[in-house]
Amino acid sequence: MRPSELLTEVLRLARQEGALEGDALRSFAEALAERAELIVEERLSREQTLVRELEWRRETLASLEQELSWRREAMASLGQELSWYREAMASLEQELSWRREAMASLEQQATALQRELEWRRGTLSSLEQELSWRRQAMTSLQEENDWRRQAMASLQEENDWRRRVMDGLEGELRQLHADVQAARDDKDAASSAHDRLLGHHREVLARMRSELVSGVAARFYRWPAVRRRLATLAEELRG
Amino acid sequence: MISALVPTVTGGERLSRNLDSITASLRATGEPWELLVLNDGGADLPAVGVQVRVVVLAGPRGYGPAVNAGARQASGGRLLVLNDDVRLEPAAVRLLAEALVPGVFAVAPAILSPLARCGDEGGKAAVWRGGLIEIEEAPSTRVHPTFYPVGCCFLCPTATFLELGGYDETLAPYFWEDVDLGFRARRRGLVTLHVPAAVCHHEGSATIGGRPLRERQVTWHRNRTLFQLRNLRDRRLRAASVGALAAQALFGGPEAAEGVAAALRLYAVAGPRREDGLGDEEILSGTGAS
Repeated sequence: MRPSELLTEVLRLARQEGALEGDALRSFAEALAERAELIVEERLSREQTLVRELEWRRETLASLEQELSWRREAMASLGQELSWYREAMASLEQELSWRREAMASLEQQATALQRELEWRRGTLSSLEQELSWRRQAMTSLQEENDWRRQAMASLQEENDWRRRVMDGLEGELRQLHADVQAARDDKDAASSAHDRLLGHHREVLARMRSELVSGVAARFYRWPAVRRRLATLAEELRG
Repeated sequence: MISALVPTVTGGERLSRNLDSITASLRATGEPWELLVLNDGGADLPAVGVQVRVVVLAGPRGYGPAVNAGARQASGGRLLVLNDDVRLEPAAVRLLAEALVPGVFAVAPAILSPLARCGDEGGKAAVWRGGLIEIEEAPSTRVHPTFYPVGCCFLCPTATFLELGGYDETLAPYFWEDVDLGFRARRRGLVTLHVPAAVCHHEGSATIGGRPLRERQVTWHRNRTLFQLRNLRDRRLRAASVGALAAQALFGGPEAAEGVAAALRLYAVAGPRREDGLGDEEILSGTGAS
């Protein structure tokens, strides 16, 4: 809808409402004027704001153009500087290439050294483990040695004690041999005495048997004499 | 019982951010409550919790129709109407419920928002200037009458909301429907109170802000014009309103002209409201209007 058409519609409404008659017309007109003023003020305010912004933008643009000019000059000198930098860059790139090769070689060496280092670390670790084991074994051996020394000392003491016991036993053995010999001598002497006594007893007993045999055969008046001889023989046996 | 209504179009992330604070504030009242997420258009939403009922609405048809549909399904005697980008302080609902006494249509909290010049969107005053009602912020630290319950957060009796016909769906999808609702309630002698002790946080135009600027400007002019033409009945104020429309037709920008033209077309169908009650001057003077 165009503004004129809209205004027509509004005025039609105004007529319907009776806004164009009597006191209402005053309200209509006053409101129209006040609202128009408000709208214009608002639009003017917006326009003024836009103008201020535009002026600010112009100033900004001018300063940007100055800056652009300065930047162009700076760009030209920077171009020269860039050319120098490019030459320096080419030289540096050559150097960089050489350094890269050197670096690659150093990296290879470093890799080899790293591997060797790792291997040595592994070996060292094994040796340290072995050393640790040996220290533990040494401690055990030391303890065993101490125990064996103690055992040896005990055995030595036992040996000394046994020697002393042996010496004692040998002395006792010699004494026993002497005692046995003495016993043998005693036995021999006793046997000899016994044999002699036995011979004596046998002889006496033989005499007593012959007395008895003769006594049995003798007359009774001889018997007291026989009895006396037998008593004498018995006394001999008793003695 | 308090029925909280949260209309949303594509507000999944905002719901995830804010629903917990709403349920916590409802729980703090010690009263039974329900929370209805009004999915206007049926876009995918994240999981909203077992205590939340999602009502899928064909559309999207806009904020007013979504809230109206939710009010019709609500079980509670009071409606807590919220935007999906609102986070409530724990005591907010309790303080609002305490302030909602007979004779009061609605209570609105302090709505802390980056959109408000004074920081609080909750208190509003109507100013008559150049043939049009203009809305200004009316900050306060005490409970005071406010021109209308700002749609992003208010508590009102369900029955009164439905008796008033809910939001005017002619104003869909957004803008001025909350002003219109508060004006109609005031016509019946009911006041809306701003309760600064109750606090909510408003992220600000989370849904509407995503719409094209021109669409928003046209809709805003359309709905303001339609609101005035349908509600004002004082002959002098109506004449002044038409005068202001003439000024807009002559000097306003294309968005204003398009909005006014659309409003005239809608008004030709909808016509003026006829409810009896307080006069325009009394309604406007009760809320700081000059």
